[in-house]
Amino acid sequence: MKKIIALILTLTLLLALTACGASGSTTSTAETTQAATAADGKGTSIAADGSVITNYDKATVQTDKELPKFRILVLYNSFTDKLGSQYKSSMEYIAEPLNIDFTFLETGSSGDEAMAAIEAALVSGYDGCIGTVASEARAALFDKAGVPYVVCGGMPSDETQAKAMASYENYLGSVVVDDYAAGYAMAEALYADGCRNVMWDGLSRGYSGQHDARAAGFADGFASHDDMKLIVENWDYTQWADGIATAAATYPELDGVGCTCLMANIYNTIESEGLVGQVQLAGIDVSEGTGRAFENGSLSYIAGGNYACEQICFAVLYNYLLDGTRVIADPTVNLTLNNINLSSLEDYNNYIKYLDSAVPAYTAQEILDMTHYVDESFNAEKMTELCKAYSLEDVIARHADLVQ
Amino acid sequence: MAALSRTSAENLQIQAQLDRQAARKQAIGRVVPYLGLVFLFVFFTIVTGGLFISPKNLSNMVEQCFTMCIIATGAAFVYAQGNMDFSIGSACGVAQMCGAILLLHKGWPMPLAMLVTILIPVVTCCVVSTIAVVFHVPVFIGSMCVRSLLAGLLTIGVAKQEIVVPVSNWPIMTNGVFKAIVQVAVIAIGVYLFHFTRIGKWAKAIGGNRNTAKQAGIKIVQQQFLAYVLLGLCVGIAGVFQLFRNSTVSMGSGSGIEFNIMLAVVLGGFPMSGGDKATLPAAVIGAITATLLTNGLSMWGLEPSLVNGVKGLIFVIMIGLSYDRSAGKLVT
Repeated sequence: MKKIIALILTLTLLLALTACGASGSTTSTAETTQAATAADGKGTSIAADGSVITNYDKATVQTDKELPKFRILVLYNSFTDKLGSQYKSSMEYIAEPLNIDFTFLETGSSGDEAMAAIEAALVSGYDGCIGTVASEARAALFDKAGVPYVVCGGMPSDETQAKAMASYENYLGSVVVDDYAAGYAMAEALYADGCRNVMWDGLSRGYSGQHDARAAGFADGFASHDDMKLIVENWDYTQWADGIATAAATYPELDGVGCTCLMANIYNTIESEGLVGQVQLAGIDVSEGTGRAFENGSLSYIAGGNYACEQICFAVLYNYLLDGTRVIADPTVNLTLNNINLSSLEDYNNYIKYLDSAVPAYTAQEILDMTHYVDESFNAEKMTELCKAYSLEDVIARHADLVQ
Repeated sequence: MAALSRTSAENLQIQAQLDRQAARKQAIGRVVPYLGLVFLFVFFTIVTGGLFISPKNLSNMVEQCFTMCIIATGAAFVYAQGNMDFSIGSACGVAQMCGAILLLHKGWPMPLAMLVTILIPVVTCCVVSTIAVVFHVPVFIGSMCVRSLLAGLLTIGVAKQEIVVPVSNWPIMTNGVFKAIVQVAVIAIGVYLFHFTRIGKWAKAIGGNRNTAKQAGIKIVQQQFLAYVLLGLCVGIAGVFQLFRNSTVSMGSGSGIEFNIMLAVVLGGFPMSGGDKATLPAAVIGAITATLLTNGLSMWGLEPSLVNGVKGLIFVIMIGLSYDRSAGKLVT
């Protein structure tokens, strides 16, 4: 009896403690705007009366139409990594002006666990969802729930799968970054910097379509130069940094590394192993150490700004929710967003200023401009052109007056 | 010496009191899992404002408990013997991968490909049993080794090709009614074998006291293999339907199943050490309870990663409070 009572009390305590943490992932639009304002001092100025003016004042929209409130579910593996946190902050930036209530749900790695978590979330009722998994099961799940679904960064594995997914009314399509082009550009940049004996540092094939596309682009870029040799490959993500040190020690002729995800520890390895000036890097995803690598000349090329993919996905979803407009005309064909290509310290500094500070790649007004609320003629073709135009120069031109 | 002497009447009285206490404890032990289920139902209904018992969510839970209930049915036979198997998650993943490859890339007919999916976990479970019986390696260690091996196979297999199943080609595999029929059939057969045949009785006898069971003429090795075959069959059946539910196979396919089953066993009041107190309905109730817990925590707003953390904590607490130390080591 004592054991049972102790058990009940323990469970009650446990559930009470869980309640403190179960505040949900729902992001209150007012809270996030306030939080976003407080989090970053960039883009602020002091008014005559001493009050602080932030560029967030400009995070409003000009429209004479009332914007309906929508509840949007955003799914991702983890919102604590660099890309995940950028996805989240870029959505939070546009939430209040566009009257959107975002819920961010980390879905974990197991397919079954993710399905169960999504099913539980959908019971609460959402108007739309942005996720990363392009599978028929997901398309069917959201179609059954009557929730429009856009895929960010993932793509159907083949034409059959694409057609199967497109058969579901609520599947709106997939938006991807041009990972193949980024991989190709990595190989070209290394070659241009005189690298002839290179290493590929990648993720196990089949784990991620994005990483596979980067690997394919790199392989093709590398193959286009007869005098370029691939002397070592590493497909173990736990060895991305250590693998370079080992390869450099084993192959003294190694002069270039293409890496599918340039994390901070890779730059640290190049410096600590004395490889600056000996081994050039090219890769994806701006991170801690990228600026330093450009400064010391060890970085030839890096692609970034992928998080804008999430904002474009939102624009696709938003168009559909506002008036049923489909800006991906054929859901079997992915909408492709350009990469932000960085090749110099100046590019990097501009990237940080215009893409990794207070204002994200697209403001709420720019998202609204992609809809019939502002532009009656906006359509799939214009959306495609907009995605092709995405570049560092494009963002600088659009946000020169927003970012101080 | 005088304090120790009692009349036979007093002895009988003490014995009767002890018998009453034991019976009461046993009755409470049988009821507690059901009380736990009701408690969770009521609790999550309150904290989710009624959404927990909405028709949509009830339908989701029926779907979500399918895998656990099927595997718990097979696990009952293994756990009743005081054994366990940490490789069933990886086995499920590899089974799904092989079945999908045969179906998509080798053009095998669906029934044949799915038969392979069902048989693969049978083979892997038998390997675990063989390691324990032939090489006298503790089941805990043997199954962990097999788990690592299978996880590696899954990684290699997934890396080689895309494994995406066009589920709309076989709509029956995601049909709720068909799955309910399969679930009821498996549980019914499991209950019959466990409670009305020698298979279940001998499994409990082995779990109660291995030496006594051996002395009584029970063929321990044979029964152990049989229990693992039954577990493998259930894992395979669950794997078939999980493949069509998720429509893809990845490195994470099947992960966590072994832990969820252990949690289900504990939540259902099924003794981890096995023995005569083991009942198959307890394992199934535990599977339903574990599903309710996962669903309820998710609906309450907890991230999936935190849900696993809470489940882990509950498991440790339940084991600590409910494990009968006189039965010996928890893990052998």
